Amino acid sequence: MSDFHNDELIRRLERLGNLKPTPEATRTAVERVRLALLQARVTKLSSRRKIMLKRFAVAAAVLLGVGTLFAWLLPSPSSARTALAEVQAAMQSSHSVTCRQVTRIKGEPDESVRMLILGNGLWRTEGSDGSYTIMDIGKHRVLLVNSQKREATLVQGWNTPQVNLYEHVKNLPNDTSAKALPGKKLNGKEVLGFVVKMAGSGPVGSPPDLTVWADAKTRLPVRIEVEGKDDGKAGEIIVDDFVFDKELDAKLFAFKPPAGYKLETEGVAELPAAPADPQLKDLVVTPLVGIGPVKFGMSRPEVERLLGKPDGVQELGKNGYVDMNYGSRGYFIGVNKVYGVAMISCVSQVEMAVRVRDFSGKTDKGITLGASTADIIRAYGEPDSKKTNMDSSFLDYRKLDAHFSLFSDKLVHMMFNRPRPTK
Amino acid sequence: MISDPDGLLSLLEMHGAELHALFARLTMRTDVAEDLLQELFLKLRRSGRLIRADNRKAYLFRTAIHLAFDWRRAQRPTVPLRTEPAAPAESSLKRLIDAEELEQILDAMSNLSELNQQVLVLRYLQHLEYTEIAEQLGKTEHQVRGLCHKALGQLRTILRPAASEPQKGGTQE
Repeated sequence: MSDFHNDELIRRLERLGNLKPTPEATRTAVERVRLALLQARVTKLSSRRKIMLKRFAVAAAVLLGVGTLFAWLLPSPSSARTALAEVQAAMQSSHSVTCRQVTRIKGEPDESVRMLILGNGLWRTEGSDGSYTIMDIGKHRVLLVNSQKREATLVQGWNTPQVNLYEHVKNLPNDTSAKALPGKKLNGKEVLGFVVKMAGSGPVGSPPDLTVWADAKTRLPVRIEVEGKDDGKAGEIIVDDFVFDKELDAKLFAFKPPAGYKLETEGVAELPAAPADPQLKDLVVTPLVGIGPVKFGMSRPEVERLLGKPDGVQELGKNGYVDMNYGSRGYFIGVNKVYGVAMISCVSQVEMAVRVRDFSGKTDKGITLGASTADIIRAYGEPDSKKTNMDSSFLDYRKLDAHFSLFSDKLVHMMFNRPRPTK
Repeated sequence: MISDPDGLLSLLEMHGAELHALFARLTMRTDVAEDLLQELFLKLRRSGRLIRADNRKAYLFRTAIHLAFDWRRAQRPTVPLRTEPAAPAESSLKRLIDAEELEQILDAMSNLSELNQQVLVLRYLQHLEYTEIAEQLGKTEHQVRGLCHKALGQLRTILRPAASEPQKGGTQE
């Protein structure tokens, strides 16, 4: 053919449009995605929830200049300048702190949230859309309220270090790194400046430096700036409008959603004791087969008979899928109404939003949590897909329907799906 | 209890099969289609951008098309699509030739602008009316007709040397 005419092109394009995968292939593909979404939901938070919680993490870290909410927000252990310690000392005398955080990402509208912190470990952030989040550090729980959808989620057993933000500030050692900047005037006030270096890294990469501006007279922070990237886009976060010692209404921190809101509860408040039965300890997971005595395809009652009562059971989605939470033993089992056991997920605390115990078992080829990429490849061969994102790696074995997630080259999560139907 | 905070499960129920078929058409491989379908939804969950999209269905398909052409650009498919036996009498050779012709079209489409790819895919692979495409792309029907005509012209131009010149040495990768 020497040339294409539009008719020929359209004919070929339409032929492409008439191609259809087999219904079974589509069913398998959709089911696989459904499981992946449900699994992602178990181990990680939804985007909206992540966004809401990110406000906490970022605001807390930015506010303090040091933070221990998440690993990547840990301060550098190097020594600090006295001037910053004085600013922090000034914060000790406050019993509440409120501030505004504005996030500016290139090409997107600014996002503003208000943060309220009480000295007793209760925090609240309020978004401009009316949504808000309350966290109780002492009780490991978070309430996420979505005013647009009139929904609320109470997450129990939230995986937070026992840090009272207010007390944390009061007891900060004077050994954080802080580099003094030349003073300047900000909104007519003389301010002192510091650059605070934060150390550590995590799933979102290394934390950026903070620029802290403090009132030269009161030595309280008036503005904190952070530059960084969000999803590859350059941006900055500014925290200002600080008010110290303002009396805050206790109702703002009530763990009760507004009347008429749908409330969903996730996680368990306290982890049950590990099972005493030695048969149920250190289980072996075999791809395409099952975990310990439980095999893919078994029903929920069978799983419960063999493994005992789960910590919790949650119905997910609209297709009769339940997530059997054995988080106190380090695993979750997804059971589909039709297919039975469809997914086995072995987890570690570092990967989970809620508190769990690290999975203490191993795979049929001796892979345990903490294994390296090389260990996994030695055991199972080259993966069909290997992806890396920042410090995280993901190895997929299609034939085994096994997926390994590593962080800093240490295995933190293994997921196994039921065998695919034979085509 | 039904829990679908991002609405992704609902979108999967509504459009999962259609998206899988679209991926299969654009990659000519059902195994890759399955992977891309999963990647699409996990990517949407990670980014959180779907929540902010005005037209979620349009965003979903736009991202899917982008993902499929990214895959095409990254590697040339090698295994032909296993499809419904629409024409059981066709010989294996004819099917291979047909598959090669379709691959040629898809490879050429990889070189079009994103907008032109969207228009052609929505019009000819998804069989949407001009009005529906206009709604998805936020353009007028008249603009979409123009875009479609232009995209076909560009595709023809890209295909012309490939179709008329003998293949040069080396493999197309």
